[in-house]
Amino acid sequence: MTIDTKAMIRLERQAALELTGTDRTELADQMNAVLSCLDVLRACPDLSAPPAATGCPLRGDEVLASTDRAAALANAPDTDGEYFLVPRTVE
Amino acid sequence: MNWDIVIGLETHVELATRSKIFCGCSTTFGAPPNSLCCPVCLGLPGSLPVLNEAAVELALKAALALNCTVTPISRFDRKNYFYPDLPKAYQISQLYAPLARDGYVELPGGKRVGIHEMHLEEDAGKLHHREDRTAIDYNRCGIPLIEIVTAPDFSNGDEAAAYLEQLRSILQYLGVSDCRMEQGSLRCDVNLSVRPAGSDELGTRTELKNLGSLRAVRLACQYEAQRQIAILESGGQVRCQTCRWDEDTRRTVPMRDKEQVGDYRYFPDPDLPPLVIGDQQLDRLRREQPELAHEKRRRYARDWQLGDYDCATLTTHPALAAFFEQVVALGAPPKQAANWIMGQVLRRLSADDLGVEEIPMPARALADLIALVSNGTINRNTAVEVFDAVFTGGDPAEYVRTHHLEQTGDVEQVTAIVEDVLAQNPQSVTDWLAGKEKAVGFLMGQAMRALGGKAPPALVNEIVRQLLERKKSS
Repeated sequence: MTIDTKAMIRLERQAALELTGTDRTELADQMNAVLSCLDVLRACPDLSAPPAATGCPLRGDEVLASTDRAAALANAPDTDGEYFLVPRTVE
Repeated sequence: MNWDIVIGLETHVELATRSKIFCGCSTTFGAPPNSLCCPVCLGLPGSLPVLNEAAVELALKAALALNCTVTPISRFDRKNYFYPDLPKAYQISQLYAPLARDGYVELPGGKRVGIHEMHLEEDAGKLHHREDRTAIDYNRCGIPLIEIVTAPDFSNGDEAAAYLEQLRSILQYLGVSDCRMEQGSLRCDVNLSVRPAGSDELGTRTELKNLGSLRAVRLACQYEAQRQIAILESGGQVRCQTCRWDEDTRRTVPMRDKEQVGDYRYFPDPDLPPLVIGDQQLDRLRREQPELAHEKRRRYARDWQLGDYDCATLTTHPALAAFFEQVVALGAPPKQAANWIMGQVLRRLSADDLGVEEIPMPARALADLIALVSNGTINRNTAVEVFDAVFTGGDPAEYVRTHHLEQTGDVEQVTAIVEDVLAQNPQSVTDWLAGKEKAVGFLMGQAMRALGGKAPPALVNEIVRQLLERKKSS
């Protein structure tokens, strides 16, 4: 898979980004470099090999303490003390 | 031109686990915003997901009940998308090797709806759109979901709604989910297209979201089908879009062009090894599967001769069916138990704004009340009064005793009162003697009132007629 100009324009729209032509080319190159790594991974035989007998480790359905809300919100760019706030996502 | 409507459903169901799918945060509904989050469900760097075994177990129960083939080795994938409802910028889902495939659900009319696939995934956070900002609550982020994708087997909204009702019933009976559409624990997206009648080729579809009730599913399908037909008949083309159902205007509103699977750049999640499901676990789950609603309906009809309506009503929710079966197990005749539950119990639940899983009256109390009517201790009208008094607690027999509500079977006492009633209503007696049969009903009513409703109606009727006949022959 490669990111061409058409794909870039669609990604820009979905990500709500406005790029200049130079930025677009540079970013497409970077993304194609990342995707080429995935192509290497896809070539590995591991995905079709049988997994270890144990498979995915599972945990019991036990409720554990959550993070204190103030701490959870501390790194957010914008909050009202209860919610994470972002620019309005619908028109 | 005639058109065929083609509908498929994607249903997301929240699983009834105590903790989230990949972390230990609670799944409690309605907690203060962002109070049930941790580094895993907030997607903080360095955190790692660990799969909840209860989520797998519940999903497998659903897969088996939906007649699916369980994938022996399923895998988790990252579905990448840029939207603030998931802070990791990807959702852990299953694309390439979902948990189960190729099942079906049989609708009450006998039609089989194919289940294309069913997979496990995590829920996203909830967005609240304010005037200038969007506020995000990540409590829902990481709640375990199954997504059930049907084949495009529905041809109208009624069929789609019937499937959802059937699906909800199956999942509630299994204890997989509470399936409350109003709380979002069962959410459904509709994929709809139209094509010329008889054509094999599928038309361009739209995806409908924000369907908060079965009624909304019916109305949205109806509206969207007509909208697409109007476009095609005027020479236009349907756009492949995601639309939102607007409950206020009862219209579908385009939101965005529909994403294709490639847009999500799925790839296997390196943090989660493949999920291996063994035959032993599946065999155990098959053995443990409880009796489902359609199986109960069949048994009620076969063993207790209940009609279709009774069977359907009593099995609408597992809690109601369980209550009914307890009352019968305590000795109540099934038809009488059914009548009391469908009449008085549902009436009181509605009046008291209670759900069927919140019936305050013990099954024993209703069984005792039915027995008091059957053995002639009280009549039906008095029983309704007793029912209302003990619905939220109390012993029916005790209530009858302390309020002196027992029926009298004393023929002399009843005869004396009926004689008084006839003496006080000479015109009705004259009417009956003149052949007006209706007058008996009036005299019966007067006699029952004079007896305070405490005599068996059959006895009173018999005595009224005996005394009238005596007057006729005298």
